[in-house]
Amino acid sequence: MTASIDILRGTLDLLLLKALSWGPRHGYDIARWIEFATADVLDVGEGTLYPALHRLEEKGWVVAEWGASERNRRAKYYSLTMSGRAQLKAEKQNWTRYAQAVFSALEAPSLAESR
Amino acid sequence: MSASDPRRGIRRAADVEAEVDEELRFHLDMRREEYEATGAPADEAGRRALRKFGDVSFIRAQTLTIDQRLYRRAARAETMSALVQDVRYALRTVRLTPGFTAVATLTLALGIGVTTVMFSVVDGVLLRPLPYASADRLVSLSEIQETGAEIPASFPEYLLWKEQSRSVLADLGAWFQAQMPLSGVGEAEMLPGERISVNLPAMLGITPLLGRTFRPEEESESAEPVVMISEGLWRRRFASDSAVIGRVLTLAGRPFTVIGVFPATLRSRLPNELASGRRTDYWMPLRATTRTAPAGLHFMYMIGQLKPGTPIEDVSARLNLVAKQLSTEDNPVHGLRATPTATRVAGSTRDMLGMLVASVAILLLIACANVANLLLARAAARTREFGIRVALGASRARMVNQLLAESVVRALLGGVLGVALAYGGVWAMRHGLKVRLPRFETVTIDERVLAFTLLLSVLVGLVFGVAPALGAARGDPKMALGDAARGVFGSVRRDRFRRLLVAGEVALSFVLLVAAGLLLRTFERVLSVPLGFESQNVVTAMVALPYSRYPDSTRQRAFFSELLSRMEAAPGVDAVGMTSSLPIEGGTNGGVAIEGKTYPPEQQPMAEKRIVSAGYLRAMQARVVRGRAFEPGDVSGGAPVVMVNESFARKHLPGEEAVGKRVDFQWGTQEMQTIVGVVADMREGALRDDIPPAMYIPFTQRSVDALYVVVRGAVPSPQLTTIVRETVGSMDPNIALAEVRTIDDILANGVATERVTASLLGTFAGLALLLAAVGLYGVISYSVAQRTQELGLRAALGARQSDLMALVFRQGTGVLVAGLVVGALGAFGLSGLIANQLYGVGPRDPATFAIAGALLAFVALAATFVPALRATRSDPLQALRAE
Repeated sequence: MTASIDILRGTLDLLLLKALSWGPRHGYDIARWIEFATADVLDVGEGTLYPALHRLEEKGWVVAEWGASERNRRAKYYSLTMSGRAQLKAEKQNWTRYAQAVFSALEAPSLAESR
Repeated sequence: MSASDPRRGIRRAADVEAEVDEELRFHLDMRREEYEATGAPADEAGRRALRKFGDVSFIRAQTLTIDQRLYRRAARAETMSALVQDVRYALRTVRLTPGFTAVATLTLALGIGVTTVMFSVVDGVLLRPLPYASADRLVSLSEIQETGAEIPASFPEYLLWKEQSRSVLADLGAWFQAQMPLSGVGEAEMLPGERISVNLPAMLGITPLLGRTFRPEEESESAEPVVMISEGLWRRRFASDSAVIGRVLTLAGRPFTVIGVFPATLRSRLPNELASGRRTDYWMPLRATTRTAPAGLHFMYMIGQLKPGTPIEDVSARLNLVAKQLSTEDNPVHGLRATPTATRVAGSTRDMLGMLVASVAILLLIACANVANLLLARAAARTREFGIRVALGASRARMVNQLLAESVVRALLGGVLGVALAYGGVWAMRHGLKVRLPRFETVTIDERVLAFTLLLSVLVGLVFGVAPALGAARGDPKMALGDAARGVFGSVRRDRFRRLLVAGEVALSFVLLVAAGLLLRTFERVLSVPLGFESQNVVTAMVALPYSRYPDSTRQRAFFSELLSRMEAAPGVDAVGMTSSLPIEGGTNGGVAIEGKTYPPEQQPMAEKRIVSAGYLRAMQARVVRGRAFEPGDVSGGAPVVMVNESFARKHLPGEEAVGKRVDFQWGTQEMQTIVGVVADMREGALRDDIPPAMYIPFTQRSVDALYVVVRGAVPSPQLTTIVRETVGSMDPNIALAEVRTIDDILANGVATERVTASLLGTFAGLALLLAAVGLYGVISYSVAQRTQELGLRAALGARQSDLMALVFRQGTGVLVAGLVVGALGAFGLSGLIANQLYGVGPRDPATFAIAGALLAFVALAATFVPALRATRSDPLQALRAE
């Protein structure tokens, strides 16, 4: 449980940006998407996405706006800004490169063996 | 996506918290409903939602912190952009109304410029610390006489206090002024100098430019005679040659070795020279020779440095206690009074500057009232603009801010021009008026003064802008739309306020005019006091004989007698005389013994003492009213004689015949002298002072080494001066003239303060009058313009031109009379404050009040006349066309 949160700490921003890449969403929608897309890696503690979202807003990567939800309740919708979109692209590349590096490292033989 | 929230534009700090709560609640509700949909009971679903969410209060706090940061950033940005917008709008308004801007800027520049000049003067003369090290701990010490008068100390007293003041003072120094002729280096020149205690340079923090300062042992009589010279003298007479150190100069015929050069900084000048503007060219240690100076001779200035933490009140109290303890029946010790040296240097200028500052403040207020008035008139014209803005949703605060920004921008414009005027003002005071105040040469417009002017400008902008801004913010949207936009409605109150402002200007101008009038009359009265002598065509110069060549009274008298007879024979010279002190400037005084009379010590008769030649009274054209003038027979060895002035006879010998009485100017220590004549009073003291009792003593019966030559002649004064210089030079080339002036110069110097204050206040009052007239003109002509229809209608209904004119005049006189009444009351109440600056005229002098009122009324009516004339040309057709 703690492990799953630790993993997320570095990548939550990336997940949030990705969640918004299809258009404006409110926090609950985002939580649901992450739940679905990551096989519920957040589990408990999904509230942490709110400080993260607001931090993204502070950085200017997303903007928030109040709107009406599907059930006609006021909800806060987040959408990507231009710089948010650029950030998503850059982060995605970084992460992929990093993940590939880690992955291939896990597959690689020992240095002595390869000689 | 819905439209943006209507509250967004005006989000407040409290909203931030509510929004976070709403967002989190929405999430939890959605989760709960989701669980409920899968069949969980309501309370179970809620618990699960919470568990899934995590620590709600921690997350809420984190989110809130971020949002509050965001909110503050946004609020700041909004304020900044509003400010930028206001200033940009203000600049555009200023640019689009060049005529109005010109008038407002000029008016403000006048007010701010004059205030800046006065601030720079007050700052330089009063506010800035003295240029010495630890200046705030310096105190000047003077002796208090029985009469309460403060006088310098005598040499023995200085030595006494040097020992006795150690409990309260860290150090005590002293000096006295002297002068010595420098010879052997080109033409002989009389140098102003100083004898100082050797600790003085270290105490004041004066360090030499070259060489060294004095050593303690150099105060002793046996030490080699040394001198320090000024940077000025070093550059002027020694071509800035550093080899001057060690060189031997001939001063008063004796050799002195130069040991150092003091820099030409403010710090190198002792307090009394900062106050008087005198320059010093040499410094010597106080020498033992002067210690033989008699106890009755008071000429030493004492300055002390307070021990850290000692309040100045303690100094006077402690030293007076010491004086009481040391006093004996035969040898009384006078108490001392300690005054902060800065106060001593400022002297009596405080009152005069206070009056000038108050006058300038009044002038600035008038300028503000004028601009406020112009803005109010414009506000009426801008009613439509303001109405539209209110209709479009501008808040009242936003409107006020914007209009204040406009005012401040205008004030800053006025401030910029005002600074330019202030440079001119300081220049004019220095070179035109030749103002002489303590430290006046340090007065400049520097960053300190500029900072003051910047602050002042902003303040001024707010002061004159606040009423018009508040008025405009009341803007009614209906005004913009309906016919009411013609601005008749609602302008009544504004017009009343404008007239009130102008009445205020008139009142303030009246106060200034009265003050200026009183000072002008003072100046005139001081100028016209009976002098007792004829000041024109007389030059004077000090001739001081060096002790080394004229050590005794025989040689001194021989030189002066020879000089007199040579001068009398010179072409163009009508009369020649000599005196130890010149009129108006004052000189030595002291107690007098009168035969057959005894007095208690504190009522001892005093008299000014003048050692003169027989020709002096003739040269000055003073009148002998009784008895005889001095004669050639009044010489040493003959019967000792004196003359006295009328004041002496009146005060010390009331109801008696003075001629023939015997007195002694040495307070009864030598053979009595017989009064042979009475001289009509000459101004032996300042022009404003009562004429003091005075005695004239023939130099032929005294020992004296320095006298002023006084020469009356028909030829121009430079020529007379040349005759004196050449005659003295031909008799002894080592003697240099000093203080070469005309008696008229001395007279002009005697009225300098009155001249300067009267000129400055006259200028301020003139400007005030001008501004008030402009204000009145503005109000009346505006109201005529507004009443075009009404006046036209009246004309159409048969009103004659004189009727229309009277109508307008009545409006003008209403304002004028109200202003005059308030102004007269104000001046009546306030003029007592400047009573101590006045002479020969009471602070409530009816003539001055009447003239000031008449002048003001005349100018005000002239200002009303032009618009009134315009009213008479009102066209009946205009009334119809305008509808």
